[in-house]
Amino acid sequence: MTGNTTSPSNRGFAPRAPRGRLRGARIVLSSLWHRADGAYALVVIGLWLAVSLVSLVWTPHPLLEASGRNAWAAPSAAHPMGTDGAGHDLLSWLMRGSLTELEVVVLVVLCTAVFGLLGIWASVGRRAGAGRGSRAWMVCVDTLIAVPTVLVAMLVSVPLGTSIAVIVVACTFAYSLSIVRVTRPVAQLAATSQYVEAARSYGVGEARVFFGHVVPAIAPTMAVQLSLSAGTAILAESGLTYLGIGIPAGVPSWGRSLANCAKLISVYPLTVIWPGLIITMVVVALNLLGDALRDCADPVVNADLRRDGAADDDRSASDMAAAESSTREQELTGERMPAQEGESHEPHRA
Amino acid sequence: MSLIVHDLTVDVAARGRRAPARPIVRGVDLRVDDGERVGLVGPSGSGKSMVSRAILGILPPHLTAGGSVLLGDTQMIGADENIAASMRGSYTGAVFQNPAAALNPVRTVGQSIALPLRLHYELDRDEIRERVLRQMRAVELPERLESAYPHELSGGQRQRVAIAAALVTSPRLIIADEPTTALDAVVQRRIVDLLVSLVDDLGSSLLFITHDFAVLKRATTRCYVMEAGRIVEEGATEALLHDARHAVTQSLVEAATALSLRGGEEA
Repeated sequence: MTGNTTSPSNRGFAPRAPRGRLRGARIVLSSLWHRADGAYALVVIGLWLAVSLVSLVWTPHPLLEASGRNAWAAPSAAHPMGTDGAGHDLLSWLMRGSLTELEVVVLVVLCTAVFGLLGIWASVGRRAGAGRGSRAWMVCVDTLIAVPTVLVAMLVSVPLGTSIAVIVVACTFAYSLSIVRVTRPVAQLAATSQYVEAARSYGVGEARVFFGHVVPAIAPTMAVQLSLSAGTAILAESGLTYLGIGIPAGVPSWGRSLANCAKLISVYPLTVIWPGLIITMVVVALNLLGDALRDCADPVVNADLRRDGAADDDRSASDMAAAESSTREQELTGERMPAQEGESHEPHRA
Repeated sequence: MSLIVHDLTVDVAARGRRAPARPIVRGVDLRVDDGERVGLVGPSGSGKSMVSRAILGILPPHLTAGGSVLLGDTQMIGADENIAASMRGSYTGAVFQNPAAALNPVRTVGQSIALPLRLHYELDRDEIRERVLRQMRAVELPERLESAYPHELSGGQRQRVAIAAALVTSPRLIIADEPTTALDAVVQRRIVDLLVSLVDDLGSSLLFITHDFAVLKRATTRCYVMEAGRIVEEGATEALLHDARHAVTQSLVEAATALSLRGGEEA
């Protein structure tokens, strides 16, 4: 195996490329794992998911166990992260809070994806009236983007009260508009491109054109945008909970722990490190995941996604460059002697 | 009769008083018999591509078509979108101009060629794969490229993939809209020959749109000449080459002759 690239197949970690239905997903995961940022993201997010699930059935101390006399205790054997203002064990609250964050992130990402796609379809989809209608729609989007998210959250909290719905609605509003704005050029390029025209000439219907041809073209941009919105949703949750319009008082959340600890930072300065550190690590992991995913899931960038196992072992980046200059040669050879295809396959390997 | 076009007009849709409807194609009449290879030639901007889009029913949204386009027995102008979509890809196949943008960059060659099959036929995966490979052999693409992505292919190879995808459902009418314009001369000739032989093997008809008379001579037996949205001359390709009457035809023939190395007809 030639070894002058960083693709895993050349390093011998995956001697046989996986086959089968989930081949693509497994290759993407393994590519993520081999990147520093991808590995960090996978580890942190994996831990986060694991802790959320565990917290459903077990936490070191029961959540409601409170002891006023033990408020703001320093870390000890019994309370590895100390206690908060009501005497709750901080570690247990942060563990259970991870579940709340998970709910927030999943809901925000799903709703943002759905409304973002709707918004993009409104601006490039054919039936939706490309041209005048889509220009008017973009003017709307530009206007609405200017509305501050906190203001939206406050308005929405009037009918909805203090609940996770306020966070989800406010975040979805802001992020889906931003996704529409950012992905519109790519979506338009894809929608008016020749392969879409070719697909229409095969008889592909409008819905399939959108989901099968336009969406894959905007998928990389959307992956990054959605991961950014996931990270920002966690930060938004902290902010809105601090303002009192996010997660309600009795429910554990990182934002609430952060807010409570931050209020007494001049008296008990070290406690705020725990929620702060955890939030930072997770938000960074989400952002890095988006970036890494964008590269690893793109067949143009990720060489391992192309071809089946055997051919991968023979190809490296330098061979690709050589191949490009010799495809012309191959083409001419192939054209003149189609019967000898087997021999004219790889002339540069002779 | 594969294709009958009568009095086809394509207009830019009117948008209020300040932008009245502008005609792009006016009163075009075309006929393509079964098994016939017909050319549509004209200078750039004469409306040839719009004619082919109108025939397929895939005009951009700001353009409207009028008149009559009969594919077999089906009227395409004003047809319900489902009916039109079922005709495209099964009755007609189309190859377009720019190989660099002709293929979906996130689909492999095999998936791109299989798309019309999956849309119009109920076949299982093995049958589809078999047909795709057979088609790839017919267009002289090596089998190993089945799982390649478009950016790994050269322009000529991508155009072969586009041809394979257009022909995989054995359509009755193939519309080739300047398929060789973006390719170099050697590859051009090879692609044209390939297209002609495949069309003849299938017994389909071909509507070959181009602005190059040299290519037309090789590919067609009869052709129409368009200028500024109208058909100005028609006849057998050979006859037009030697005995063009309209000024546009004459200038196109002269240009093709002057550009070829020997300054005379291509062998």
